[in-house]
Amino acid sequence: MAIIVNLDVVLAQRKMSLTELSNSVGITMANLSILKKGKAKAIRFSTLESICEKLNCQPGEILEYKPENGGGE
Amino acid sequence: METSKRHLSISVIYWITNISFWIFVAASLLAVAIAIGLFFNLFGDDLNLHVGLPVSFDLLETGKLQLQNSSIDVKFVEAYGNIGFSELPSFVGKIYGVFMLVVIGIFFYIFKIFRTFVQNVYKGEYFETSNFLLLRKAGYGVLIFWLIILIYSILQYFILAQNLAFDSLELSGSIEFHGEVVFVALFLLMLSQIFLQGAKLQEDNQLTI
Repeated sequence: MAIIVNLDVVLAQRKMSLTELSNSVGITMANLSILKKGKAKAIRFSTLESICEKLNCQPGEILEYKPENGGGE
Repeated sequence: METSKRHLSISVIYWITNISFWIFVAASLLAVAIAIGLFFNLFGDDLNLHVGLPVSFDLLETGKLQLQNSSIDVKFVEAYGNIGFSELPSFVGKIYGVFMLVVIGIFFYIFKIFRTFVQNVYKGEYFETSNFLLLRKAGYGVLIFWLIILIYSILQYFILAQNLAFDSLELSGSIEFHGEVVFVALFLLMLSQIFLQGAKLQEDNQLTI
């Protein structure tokens, strides 16, 4: 998928573990792990809002668009 | 897994399917024994084999229908039935023996698939890829079943019905094509596609965070 999830990078910058984030935003570890590994097919605005609120960041810091096979813009 | 309350219809179908399945298994074992006996002519003349006729017949009978204090003349127009062999030729026994085994085998296969599907639904596993595969197999199984009963009907029509003569009845009609069986097969295949779409949607839903 051309959308890259940089959750691990933002977590590292904030010196926060996945477990801490999971406990504070009320999303299961399993779901956060799916998100972190880039296996998620979609993300709800409410989830994104909770994560951004807790990590004090913008959605663009967590999600990034990288064209596949060198195509795109 | 879904934790919603199971609908009564699912429980009813589940128990009916389970009970019917085991009755069918018992009946099948008996039928397999008879089929083997027929094939090897173990029964001799002791077995009065009854064979269903693939065509309808007109009984040359008239009768009375009592309705609202009046008597109406009616004629027996159409009936279906079996013929019984008082002396069973060995080649006929062989044909029916093989046919019975094939039909039992296919029916058992379809029934087993259907039972597994019902068990999955009973457990709350609705839109799973396994259910799509089960329904697809059942659909193709029913199509094969239809092909076999069609061949059986055609053979019976040309071998039996065309050469039968009775004093008090006339054979009529033509070969039955059992269109309803094809409809069931197509419906199962259509259902399998619906379950495939359902499985994809479920996967998408599970991977939406």
